[in-house]
Amino acid sequence: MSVVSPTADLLPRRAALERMALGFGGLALNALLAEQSHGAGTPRPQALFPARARRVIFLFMHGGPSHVDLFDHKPGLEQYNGKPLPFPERKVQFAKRGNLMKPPWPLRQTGQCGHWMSELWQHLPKVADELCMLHSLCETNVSHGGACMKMHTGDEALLRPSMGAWVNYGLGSENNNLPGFVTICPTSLHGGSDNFGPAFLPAEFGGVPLGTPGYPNTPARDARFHYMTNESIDSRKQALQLGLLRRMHERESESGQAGAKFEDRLRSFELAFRMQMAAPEATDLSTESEATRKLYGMDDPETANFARECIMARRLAERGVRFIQVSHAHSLKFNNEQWDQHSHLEKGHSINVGQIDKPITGLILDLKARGLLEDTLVLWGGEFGRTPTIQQGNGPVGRDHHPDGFTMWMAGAGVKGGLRYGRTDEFGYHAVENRCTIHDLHATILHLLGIDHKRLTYRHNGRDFRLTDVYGEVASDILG
Amino acid sequence: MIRKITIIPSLTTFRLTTLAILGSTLWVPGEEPTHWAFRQLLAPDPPVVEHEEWVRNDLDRFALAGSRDEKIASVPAASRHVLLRRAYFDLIGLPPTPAQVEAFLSDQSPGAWKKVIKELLDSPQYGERWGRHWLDLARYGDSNGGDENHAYPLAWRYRNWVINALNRDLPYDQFVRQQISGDLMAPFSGDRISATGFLAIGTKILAEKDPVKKRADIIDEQIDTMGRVFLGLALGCARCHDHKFDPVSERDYYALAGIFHSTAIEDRELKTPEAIAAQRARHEKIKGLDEDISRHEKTLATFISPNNAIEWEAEAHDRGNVIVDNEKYGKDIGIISDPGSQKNYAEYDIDITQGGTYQLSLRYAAAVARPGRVLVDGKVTIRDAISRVTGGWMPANQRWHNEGFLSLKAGKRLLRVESEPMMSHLDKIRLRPAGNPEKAAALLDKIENLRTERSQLEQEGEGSFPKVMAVRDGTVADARINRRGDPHDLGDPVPRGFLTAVGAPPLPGKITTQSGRLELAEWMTSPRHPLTARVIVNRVWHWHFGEGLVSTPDNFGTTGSAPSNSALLNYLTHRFIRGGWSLKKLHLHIMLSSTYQASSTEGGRRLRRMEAEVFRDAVLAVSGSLAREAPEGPPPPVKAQDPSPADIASNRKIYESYPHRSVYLPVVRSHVYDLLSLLDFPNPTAPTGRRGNSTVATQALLMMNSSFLIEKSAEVATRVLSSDDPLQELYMHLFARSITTEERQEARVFLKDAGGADAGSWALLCHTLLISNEFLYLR
Repeated sequence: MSVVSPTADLLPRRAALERMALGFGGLALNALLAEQSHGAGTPRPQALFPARARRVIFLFMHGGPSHVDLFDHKPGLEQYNGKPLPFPERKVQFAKRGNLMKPPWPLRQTGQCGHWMSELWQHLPKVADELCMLHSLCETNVSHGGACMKMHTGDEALLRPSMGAWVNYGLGSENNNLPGFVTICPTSLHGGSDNFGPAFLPAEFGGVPLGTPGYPNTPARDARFHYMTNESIDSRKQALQLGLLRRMHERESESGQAGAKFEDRLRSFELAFRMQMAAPEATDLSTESEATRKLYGMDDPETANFARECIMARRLAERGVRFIQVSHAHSLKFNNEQWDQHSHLEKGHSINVGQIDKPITGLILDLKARGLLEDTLVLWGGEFGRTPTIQQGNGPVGRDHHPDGFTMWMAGAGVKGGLRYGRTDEFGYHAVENRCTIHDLHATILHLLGIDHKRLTYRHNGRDFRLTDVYGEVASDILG
Repeated sequence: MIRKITIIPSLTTFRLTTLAILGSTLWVPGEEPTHWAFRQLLAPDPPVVEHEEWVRNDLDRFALAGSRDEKIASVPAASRHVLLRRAYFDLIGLPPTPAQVEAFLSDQSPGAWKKVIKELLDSPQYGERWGRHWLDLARYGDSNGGDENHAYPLAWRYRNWVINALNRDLPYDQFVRQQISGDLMAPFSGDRISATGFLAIGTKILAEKDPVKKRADIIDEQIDTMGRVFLGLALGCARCHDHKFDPVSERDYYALAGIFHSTAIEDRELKTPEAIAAQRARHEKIKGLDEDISRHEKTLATFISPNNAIEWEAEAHDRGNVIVDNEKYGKDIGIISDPGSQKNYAEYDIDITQGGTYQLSLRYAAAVARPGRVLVDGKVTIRDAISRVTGGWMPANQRWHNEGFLSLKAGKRLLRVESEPMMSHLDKIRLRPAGNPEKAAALLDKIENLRTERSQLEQEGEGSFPKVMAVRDGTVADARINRRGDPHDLGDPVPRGFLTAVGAPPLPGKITTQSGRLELAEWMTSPRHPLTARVIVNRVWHWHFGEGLVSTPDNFGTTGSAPSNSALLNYLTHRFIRGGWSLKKLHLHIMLSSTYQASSTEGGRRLRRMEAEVFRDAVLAVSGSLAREAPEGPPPPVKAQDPSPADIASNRKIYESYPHRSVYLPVVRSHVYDLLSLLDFPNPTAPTGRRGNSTVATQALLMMNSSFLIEKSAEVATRVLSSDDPLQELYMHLFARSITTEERQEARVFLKDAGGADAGSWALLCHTLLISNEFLYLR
């Protein structure tokens, strides 16, 4: 007998590729299809604005990078170094805090736009003019768990869909052979898989982890999609299995919804069969050129891990994945979470910046060179910043968690490069100008993707839920 | 022909005069709420129907009357083998064995069907199957989930309580009461305390640094879960404002919140009479042993010779991490102590010229007990050493203490004193040889044996009272309204009470001394409560038919669906209450109807995929590797808090090799076993009355590539290959039916294409059938 070629004989009979390569005209269609397969009652989202971004890459810095040491320049800290904060600290604190502390390194202005950056950043200044600094993030939570959940899902305590799941629900994947939401090397801490989960949205919109979620997270070289291969059944035998399943299905002669369900299921097998080819290809870095590897820092043991994650992100973006999260979430020997420098601020932040500086700069340059930065939104940040005040304990000093004013940045599609949006007070404590809550951040991201955050809803238990709950203002000043 | 349907209320509408009730709210009788679910439950008379020949019981009459043109009467009855597979999976979640299929098919007696149902309802597997349904609602988890995923090592006792309660058909009103107020019900019972685990096992944001908010969040989770599960109402909405759609006011919410503010979550000991008696017996025995030990030690002490003692300063240690103090606490004498929290130790190399029994004495000072141990050559010899209190830390408080006896062989020995995290102030160490070495050694042996026995008894005693996650009444007080849900912005206090506007009659009297959970449970399970019974009856229908009469089983509020057949729902609910809230009677009544026994259709019983855990159990069952008995004790220990990729891999190994039913697998929140979560096992952080039903490629990848399924397929192959007709055996095991000629031919071709009739090809065939629609879907 002849070996069945999966792409020839096993292609779905129905027009299964409706969801594929929909582009933006297909926005509503995807939600419509989801609605069909999950029952009525789900109002479909509508794009109201021309989309500026087609996809998102979220570079998540687990633990809380220190805004005042990295990006938010505060001469006040130099001047009042060692003096008490002249106004009361927040009531609920994570650890005991002391007096104001100036950054261990000087900050200097970079690019045409004059973004302030710590001297630790050796590479990022090259793309300074691409970055839109958001200096007024606020209102997460003072603990990692609450803050991570808030950042990812919009709520600090309740089970809610991840923002990636909302985006995937609203827009779907542009590639039928890959999931619409992939999270690369996620952490198992502080919400774990609920931070990329669908919650009450249909399961297909949840994030698919590349690498087992873990603490510390999976090394990038081991990051694989699960159940993509097995050791004992080769693709010829799998083709035989699929053939038998289809013959059995054709005999079943179910009609109506049941018949459609069975047809769906069979198509899901055929799609899975194709994914087995597409997914490993998407994460296989062996075809990347020497120049690209160097650009991201894959050739240097210090940067290799995050470089791999960033290259995988670019490959997934190229292949139409809608929402890609990259997590910088290993542990350091002297601190729990990667950026969580309650102590050893100097040492910890030096190591952390050293690990990501070249890879993220490489990512932005590479996206730009490939024309992808035009419609890819890159978002950088952690679940909170760090206090302008000192935390003293065992060993070298650090800073406590700080959810009241901190910095994230965006680059790419639809945002004004070189802009500084919002401001904290003279010590970097409270966000005081153009305050940007997490709901505002989410509303802005959805807006860039062409979605009205107030209309992207899902009905669950009698209520229409939104990523932004009943809040959220688009930060329209940053839109290019 | 004229269709005649008469629905006449057979109960007089219950009327009350206006009652002043909790707080200032008045319940106005006679004004029936407009929303169907809040209206009183009236027992309708069975309608007269045309297709009387189709009718097996009154349920069918209501079903016919609710079906346009009595269309369901024309749906063909399911074939007997379909029916049997349906009954097995519905009631116990396991496939019938080929012998059970044959027995049923050959039993043509009219009572055969009823007999099977009753057997299944009586089997202990019933509680495992329906207990899992309940655990979906109870958002059961063996870890906290949320921000800090600590293990819940005691949660399984609540799980077992659920399974047992369903198996003994605990009336549903009791089932509800015990979960809300089991600890307050008389007579006091440990079993009922386990039931309150329902209120304790929710996800808590453990690292929340604001204790006031943390408490408010925990209470919100309890109220919202309770509302959804028992009443089909989302009460959490009213935390910040009056409910937008349902008549649940902010005041109602804080009336309930007061009840839970007056309730504390804690792990409680189950002091059953047996456990108490056993503990008492153990104490008596330990007392006897102590007397024996001290008698022998006294005798031994008479052998001690004052000569030939070896005595040395504690600070002359050969190795150790202790600090030497000659100033503060050791002025003039010199002592060793600890530098802070650590595992403190000091080691001494000693040279014993004559082997034998020695008495060990230590001279130390201690204001509080800092017990430690003594080791000889690495072996723990005295378990409870350096543990006494001498009245202070200063040299004036230094005393000699007899620590016990050591058997020391001649030669170089290593004596080690250790204690953690603190150490008493140790000054000197002394060894004195016992005379009459042989007798001394024999006595020492005896003492050692007695001590071993004693410590075993003590260890047993530690676990003698099993602990459960539970609640108890705490500081009893009313709650104050949190303005806009902010627990720091307090408004008026609200007397503890219940929902005032959902059509449920109030309880006469006020909640006074206790939290009010007892009264809450009583209010909720009143036969006149319009929601509680309706909600569970609809859930049972949903779990049997794949779609409830109300298609939103967790939402009976105004935004939920209206019942597709409200007369049928009212009839079943009324019958359920009259029948003593028995779930088993409800199952039997439903399953004896023609409505249930019809082929699956869109309007009736849905064709549906078996649930995740049923699939796993069924695979284990057909491969012959399922351990059917319930496991003893807690679930296997898997890593929940901060698992690494390696931990998750080892968790997976534990799941894959676990032989018992899936209901006994640990449910790690945020990291549910992916075989289950990929097949729509609910997220255990929130109650789920209606599971997802997704068909996605990741499930297909799991089906094709899971090593668990591939291994089990090989076991199925081995099993069927030992029979005379392996193909027939395979179809009987998997599909509860015979193989057709066409299928035989197809299977032969498949085996040939796969490489012949070897075990590998058979395993491939079994694997294909295990992931086929016919195996996974229940008709």
